[in-house]
Amino acid sequence: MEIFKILSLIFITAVICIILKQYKPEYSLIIAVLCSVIVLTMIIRQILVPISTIQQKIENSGIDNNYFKVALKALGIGYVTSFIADSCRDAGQSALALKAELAGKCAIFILSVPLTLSILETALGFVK
Amino acid sequence: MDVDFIFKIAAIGIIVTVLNQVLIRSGREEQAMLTTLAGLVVVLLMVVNSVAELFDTVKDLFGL
Repeated sequence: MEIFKILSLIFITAVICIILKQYKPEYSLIIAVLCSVIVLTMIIRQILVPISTIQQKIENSGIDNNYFKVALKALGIGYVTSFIADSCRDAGQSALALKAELAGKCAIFILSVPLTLSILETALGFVK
Repeated sequence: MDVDFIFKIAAIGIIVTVLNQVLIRSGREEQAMLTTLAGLVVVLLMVVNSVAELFDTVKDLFGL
């Protein structure tokens, strides 16, 4: 993973943000958001390969792969929600950041409801 | 979607700041405010496009 490239890019952007903060604060926020977008795309390009190999492995092995699908969806939601929440915190809007995180948590909860139901059914099956 | 995107936006920011100061010194406050607004709109459009692109890639990868 081109970790050093990403870290140096982040450091340079932080310096640029400070320079622009005194003249135009809105531009420093925009540059911060843009840098996190670029870093996230770089990370996604790296993550693509392992995730697809895991998916292939699970499909071949015949295990019911909707557990892995739900986990992947939750990962995606968490990924984007934390990006937006941190950008809002960067802009000084901590209330908005908490709302974004609340929305992300509710989305993940809704995602996991069918999963927990199926686990509950199997557990009840043992009890009876 | 690469690194020089950030430096392009930083350059726009600095140019708008300088332009703003020049316009204010020469007594045209309204034009100064308008140029700042115009620069902001241009930069915002660029960033919104890149954020939309990120959301699409996340949607494809994670199957959302």
